[in-house]
Amino acid sequence: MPTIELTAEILMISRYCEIITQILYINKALSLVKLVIFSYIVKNIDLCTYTSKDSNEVTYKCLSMISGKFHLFLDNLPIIIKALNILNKNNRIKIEKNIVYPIHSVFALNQIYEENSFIYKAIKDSKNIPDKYFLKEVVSNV
Amino acid sequence: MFKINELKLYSTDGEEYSYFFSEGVNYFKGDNDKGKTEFYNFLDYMLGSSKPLDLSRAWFNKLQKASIKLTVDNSSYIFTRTKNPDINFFKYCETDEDEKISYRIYKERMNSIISSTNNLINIKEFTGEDFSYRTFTMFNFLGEKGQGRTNDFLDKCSDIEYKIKLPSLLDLIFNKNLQEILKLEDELKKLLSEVKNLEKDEFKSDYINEQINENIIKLGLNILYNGTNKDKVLEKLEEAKSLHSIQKRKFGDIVELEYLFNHINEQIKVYETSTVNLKQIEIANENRKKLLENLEQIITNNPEFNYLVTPIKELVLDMKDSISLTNYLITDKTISALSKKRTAIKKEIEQYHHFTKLYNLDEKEKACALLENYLNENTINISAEQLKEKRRRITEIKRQIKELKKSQDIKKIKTLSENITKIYKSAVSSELVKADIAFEGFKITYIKNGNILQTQIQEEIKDSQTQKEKIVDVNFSQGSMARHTLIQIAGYFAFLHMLITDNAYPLIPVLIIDHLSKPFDVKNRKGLGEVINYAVSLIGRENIQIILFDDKEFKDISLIPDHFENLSTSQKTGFIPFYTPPRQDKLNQKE
Repeated sequence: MPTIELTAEILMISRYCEIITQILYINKALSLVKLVIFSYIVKNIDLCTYTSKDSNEVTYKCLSMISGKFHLFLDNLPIIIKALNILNKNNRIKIEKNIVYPIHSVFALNQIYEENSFIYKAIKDSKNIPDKYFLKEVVSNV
Repeated sequence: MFKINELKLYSTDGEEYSYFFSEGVNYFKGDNDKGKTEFYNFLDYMLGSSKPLDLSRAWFNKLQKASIKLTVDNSSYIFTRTKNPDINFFKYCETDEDEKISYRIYKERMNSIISSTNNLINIKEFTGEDFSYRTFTMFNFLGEKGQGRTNDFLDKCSDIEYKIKLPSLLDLIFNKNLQEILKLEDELKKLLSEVKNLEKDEFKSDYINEQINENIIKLGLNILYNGTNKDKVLEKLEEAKSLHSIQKRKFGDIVELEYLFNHINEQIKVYETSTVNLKQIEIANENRKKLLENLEQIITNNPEFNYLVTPIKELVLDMKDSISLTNYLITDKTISALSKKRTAIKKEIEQYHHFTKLYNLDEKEKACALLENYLNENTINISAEQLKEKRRRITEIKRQIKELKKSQDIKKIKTLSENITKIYKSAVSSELVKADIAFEGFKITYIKNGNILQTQIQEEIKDSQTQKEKIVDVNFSQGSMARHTLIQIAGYFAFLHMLITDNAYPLIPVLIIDHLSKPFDVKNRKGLGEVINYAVSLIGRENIQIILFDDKEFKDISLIPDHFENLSTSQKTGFIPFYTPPRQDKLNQKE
């Protein structure tokens, strides 16, 4: 039924809005493509086999967690884009030259999702990887 | 024609008691606890059931053995069973001597007697299984517990041993292509045998060729036997025998050969590794494609998201890192060519080793003799084409047989459905039936898949394409155990009518029903008798025996049996006449 679908979509968009703002609150700025992918990982990976003790190639390890779920990522992609658009339109984020910046930091204090320290490391490490190779890694290995 | 004439019981004290059966309807009345169900199960036991008697029951204590007299086409036979399933006896009525037989022989004898009346179709050839008369007993018995089922309506099919056989049996019964199937099966058998022989000859021929070439190499004859150049080989052999100069075959330097072999091996390994990498690239390309399509879809649905999607899209397009499909195919062909070359070089190296090996005169003499021997063997030149053609034909026939086996005789199923409906509708005094036939187009349709008796009525619906009203058959379900039991009984009778008419199966033309009237109240009981009377007239009284066990008077169910007996009389208390219940025993003692 359309009503249920719409409700589900609204719920998912709102969750992604929370996740995006939280990621940006902690990481200050992140490229558009990385933000999209890490938002998906934060929302959908329940069990993380890696911990903050992992130090080598953390970004690649993090991306390997969505191995076999590429089709699920594609299903979520439109919703993540909608969430970004809502945040942008409501001046919560700013997008300049494909980098996303948070505008207000206050709203990110209500944390529903606790960012896993491993994922936090992975996001931080990913800033050393160019977007093109980052995306190549996603497309080749998942 | 097959008939059950008599069931004779023998007690341990030497007493005897007989139950007689006539053609048509045999009605045995018994109140509660008079042994109706025991009698029902006992008949199955006497007809070869593997289920042993429940000897813990007190009424079997005094029973020693029982005999059943069967008449088939004016010949009568007596089968005797004891409480031990493996101790049985058989005799012809005219003889005095009982032949002791095992349970297996008991069934085989009964099967051959029942099968002798029919123009049996080869069941095993069609179904691949041996279905004897025991399998067909699923059409002969309807017990109290199995009543009321219209889905998978045969009572015995609640037993797994019957359930698994039913689908192939129904395929056989409702197949209209039996003759073609048997013809094709015959052809298949012949072809399989021919191919087997050809393969044997081919194998023999290959072996001989191999031996010939091995000995040729030992003798250094500089020729290879290919099956047709026997004369040339013999010529060379004569030359060798007369010690003419043997031309040395020019082999490449062995070192060179081995280097070539290793090099090709390495090349193949490299290419094989690259195919693995190429597969990964293929997956990556597939994912890129899906991602691009997804992004395009987002922009199409919401052009305002362009500013978010375009940067991602540009990145995806930038990722050009795969080789073209043509290159992949070329690599594939290269591996194939290199593999062939590797095999050829390997063969050459093996031959070289033979060539360089020193054979003494004795060995060469032996090789000569063997060579002559093998060359003189009559080898049939097996044409690979011939074999291939036969194999292709075998596959084709198997496919055709499979298709034909699946086909159903729709007309036969329709006739069966019509008969079931007619038999059901004959219960004119039943309130249930009156209510059903009041519906427009009421009928019962037999559905082979699931062995279902489906009630249907007609309804007017609008055709979605033409928008015109049309009448269609729709499934129609009404409750009531009595209704379903009546439909079920109609199903049994219609099936028996069809199978008896076909006269092609090892079927006992008997229907045995236990506690028939149980689900029926006063308003509907008479419908039972009407159904049975109609069915008997449809099938023919002389063609079927019906054995009914019930606690009602036969006139209560509007039945006119051809034979009636009360299980409980002044002389006996139930089915087993030699049994006295304990309370009755005490009363007798007091008296």
